[in-house]
Amino acid sequence: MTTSEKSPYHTPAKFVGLAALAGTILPPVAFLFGAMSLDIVKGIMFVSTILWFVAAPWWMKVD
Amino acid sequence: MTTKDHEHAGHGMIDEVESPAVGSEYERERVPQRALKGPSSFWGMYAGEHTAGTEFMIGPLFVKWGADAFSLIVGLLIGNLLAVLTWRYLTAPIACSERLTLYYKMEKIAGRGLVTIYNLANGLLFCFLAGSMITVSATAVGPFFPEGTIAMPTFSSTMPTGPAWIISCIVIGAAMTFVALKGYDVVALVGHYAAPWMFLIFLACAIVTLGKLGTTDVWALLTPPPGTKQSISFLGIVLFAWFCNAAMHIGMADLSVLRFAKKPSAGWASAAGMFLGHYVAWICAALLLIYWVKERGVNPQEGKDPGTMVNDAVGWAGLICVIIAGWTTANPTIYRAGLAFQGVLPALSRTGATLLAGAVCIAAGIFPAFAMRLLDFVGVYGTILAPVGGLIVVDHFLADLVGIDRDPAEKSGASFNMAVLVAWLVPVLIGLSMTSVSPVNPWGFEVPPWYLPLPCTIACGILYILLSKFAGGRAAAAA
Repeated sequence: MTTSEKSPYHTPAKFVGLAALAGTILPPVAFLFGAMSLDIVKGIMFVSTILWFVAAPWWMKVD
Repeated sequence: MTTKDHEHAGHGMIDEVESPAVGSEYERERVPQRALKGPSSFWGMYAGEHTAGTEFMIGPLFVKWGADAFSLIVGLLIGNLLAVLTWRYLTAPIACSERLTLYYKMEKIAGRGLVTIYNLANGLLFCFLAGSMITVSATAVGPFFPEGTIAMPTFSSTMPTGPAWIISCIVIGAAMTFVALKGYDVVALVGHYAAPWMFLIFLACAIVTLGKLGTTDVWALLTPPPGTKQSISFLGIVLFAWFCNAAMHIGMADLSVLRFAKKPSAGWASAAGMFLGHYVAWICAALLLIYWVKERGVNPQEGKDPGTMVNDAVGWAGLICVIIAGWTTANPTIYRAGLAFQGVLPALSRTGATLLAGAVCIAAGIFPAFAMRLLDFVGVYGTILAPVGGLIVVDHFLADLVGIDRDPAEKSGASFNMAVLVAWLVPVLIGLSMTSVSPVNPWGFEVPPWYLPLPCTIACGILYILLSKFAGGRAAAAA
């Protein structure tokens, strides 16, 4: 993974991408500690998945 | 487990194709200095490649076989470390010295005719591998329909489970084949983008499973109940982890990738694939089945399909992961199998060859036997393809020392080096006859297929030296 230096969308995409990755892994951790129901975990993970695939092409670049 | 989508580490795209049938950059020449890439290009590639849909099968299969916690946690660690060291200290140095694709290097040693045979074996094995990925992806279709609409296969399934299952496999396989016809750049890009997310989905499955089981004691969870028959030993786990990608490291398929590396140290990048995909992801997938065994009363010998388990753990995000993980790895596999078939049957158009490969893959996917016996299959895959690495090691390191020609077929202009054919086939046939997949076993004992890649590779190298010397040493190896 390398970062694109030219795209004006790079910084917002990076922010969204990182948030999406956080939304993929943090809800399960919250569920593990009993702080979130599984249905909410699944919902957040699904939304995060969509956000990730929207953001990743603007953030990640293939060399 | 993985396939090689061979996004070569450079050149802006992912369409490196190492087949004698097609032309692509530096396919028949040394990679020039200006095309070399630094190590960062390889870390992402290996991480993405080795987190595939089939990882959802391998972890649960270890549970079925009663693997204990020590074997899984320590054995997988050792086995994957050995695989990384093989990439780093065997494959990468040869790749950086020769800077040729496996196919071109093979052609110099074995002759073009023999490479065609290798290509056919490769193509067929690719089809079965892609078939098992279609099987895994198809299990993700079931949860979208009312329960019972599609009968899901279990570990003991060898035949299609019903018309709905067959239709699922055909639809998914046809979609994969259609994309393969268009070239797989886009899908390979999706795979590239998906890699970090996909790894987190595996991790999320495990974390949710721990939450459901109300414990974080992974060691205790991985310990099988008393009385469980252990069908795979610590050594078996080590060797499986080491050799499940034997075709890529000791078999030298990754010469085609690592030839773009500036330095052999790029071989360390394989650690990303081994420790994320073949260590963490396998253990995460194993935990999924352990939950179903402990809490839902599933028989570990029957197992549960990946789609249902992942949907239960993390919902639609998991189902998307199962489909994408299978798709992104199966699609280039179909494409490459098509190229291999085209190499064997040059009269076939690219479209015809890819359709043929797709049809074989779909047929293999409909029958769950390949996915459900994945551990055996990858062992067979390595046993058949890895020994050619022995030839390359001999040619690269030992030829001058033992007094045989380097690149003998190139020097003599031969298209078929009989010494190579015999050195390759004899150990492979003897080895496979010792396994449970052989219809005839005259030995009175069985050896798991994943024990065989290293001995067969060593035997192939030794036989090649002996046969080349017997044929007259220098300049006489090629017939």
